[in-house]
Amino acid sequence: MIPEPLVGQYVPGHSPVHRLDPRTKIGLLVAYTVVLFLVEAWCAYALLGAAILAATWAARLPAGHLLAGLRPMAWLAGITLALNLVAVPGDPLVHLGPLVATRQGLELGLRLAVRLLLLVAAASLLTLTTSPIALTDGLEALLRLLGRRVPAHELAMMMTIALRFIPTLAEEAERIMKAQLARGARFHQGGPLQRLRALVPLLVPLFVSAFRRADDLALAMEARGYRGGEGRTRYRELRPGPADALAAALAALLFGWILWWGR
Amino acid sequence: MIRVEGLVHVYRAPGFPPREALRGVDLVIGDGERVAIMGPTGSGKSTLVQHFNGLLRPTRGRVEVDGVELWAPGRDRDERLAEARRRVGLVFQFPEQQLFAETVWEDIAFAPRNFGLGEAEVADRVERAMALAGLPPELAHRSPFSLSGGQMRRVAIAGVLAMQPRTLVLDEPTAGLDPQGRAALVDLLGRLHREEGMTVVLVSHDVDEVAAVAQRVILMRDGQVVADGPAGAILADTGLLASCRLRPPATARLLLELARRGLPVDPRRIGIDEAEAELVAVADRLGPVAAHGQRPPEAAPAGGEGGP
Repeated sequence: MIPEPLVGQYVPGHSPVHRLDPRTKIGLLVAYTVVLFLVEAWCAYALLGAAILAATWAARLPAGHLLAGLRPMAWLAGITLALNLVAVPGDPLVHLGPLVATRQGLELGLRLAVRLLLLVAAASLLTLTTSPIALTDGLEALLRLLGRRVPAHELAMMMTIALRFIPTLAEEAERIMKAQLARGARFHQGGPLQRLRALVPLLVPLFVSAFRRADDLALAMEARGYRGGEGRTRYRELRPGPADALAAALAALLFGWILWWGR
Repeated sequence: MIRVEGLVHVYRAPGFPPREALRGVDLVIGDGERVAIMGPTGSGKSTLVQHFNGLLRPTRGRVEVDGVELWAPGRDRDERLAEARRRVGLVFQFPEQQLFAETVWEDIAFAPRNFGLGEAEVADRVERAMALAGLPPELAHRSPFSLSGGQMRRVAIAGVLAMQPRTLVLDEPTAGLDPQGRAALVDLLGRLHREEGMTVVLVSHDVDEVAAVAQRVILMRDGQVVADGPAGAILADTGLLASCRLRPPATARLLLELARRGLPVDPRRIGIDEAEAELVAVADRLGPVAAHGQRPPEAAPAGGEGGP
């Protein structure tokens, strides 16, 4: 049971999109989200979608990666559509037993579903092209803008560590699972209660080792003089370059135009 | 008996190139053998042993346990796999990390209960497994997490022994133990073989441990078996071992050095008792003079003591 790569897991590369400053990319994502939820015209959504496709192409990512990220969201989008279809009052389209599908419901549902998918596509483009380290560096830099009260460094460090340990824990889970299988454990048989109980021999050792790892990591960090973010310098400085200016300018033009024309 | 034919295993993870961990392995492990599987890191040892009880599914090739092919299609495959897991006990690396129950007793009872035995039989097996693994009975109601590392490992091994497997496969069982723990474990493996008639398969990097436990050595490199034969012959073959980034055990190195200096010893007698017998035989041949500190001529340092 090797876990599938997580949705939107970083794909290393050297494309212009990969090399953008993470702050630029996060900023663009925020702006994109705002625009996405302000515009109403269908062609504006098409334009935003085209922008995502163009960025995917510029990142030299196969479109399949993006689609794979959308697949789990397709369910949510479908449910959104179905709920709106029958819950919004308006001109009836079809009668489905006691439920009435309305034109307004269809339009609102479609609009929400499209927005949802476009949002997830953009977010996964960010995580596909930005290493977790760069992403947390960027978030930390942006959180700092919120003032001293926000523990930016601590939040970023927690994120980095959590991301770092996902593959380690997955590997460990696989190993413990195999060890219990070798002792005749059955994880895929029986009713829901039985399956839940079958998880105990997997989860207890996993937690024990996670706590031990956390202890070891804390000690190792302290042994190397970690005292939090105060006065800490970095090995990788974030330096926006001309590409960032260009990307921001392009995005400003595109978003401005869409806003002016698509509302 | 475990029979492996043309076994190929390819690890595939999305986003990574496929990695061939086993590239066509053929071997038979007979009942009552003591076999060590050795080889450098990444040579496929751990992958191979996980095929012995059907934890991994072969990419190509077949695996048989006592004449039953594990992965042949058929509705009874789950049964076959469960039976193979009962017959071939597999102790993973750092097995103490799999402990989960509130008491030692409960943890050891996990496997027999999984195989659907009655409580009386379970209790009987737990007691036997604890005795076999050298765990004092008063530990039964302690939490496994309160024990020392060496004791935890014994509990984990007892947890596999409680299935009463005919073959016990251990992946690096002494890694991380102190010298006393290592010696005790090597002793335990010998006892399981002698007294219980178990087939013991040991995956190890430690040539001295292998020399003490195994009759037969299977040497692996890059997913293939490069040598398979009597432990004495393989562990005294310096060149062969070096090609797998190993060196002979201390006993073999000593005997090889004595043979190089012209003494009539057989360097393939690498077990501690055998090596001792060889040394005693040589000492007898050299007679009491050598025993009183005078060096035989061929061992004297060049340009050493001596007058004009």
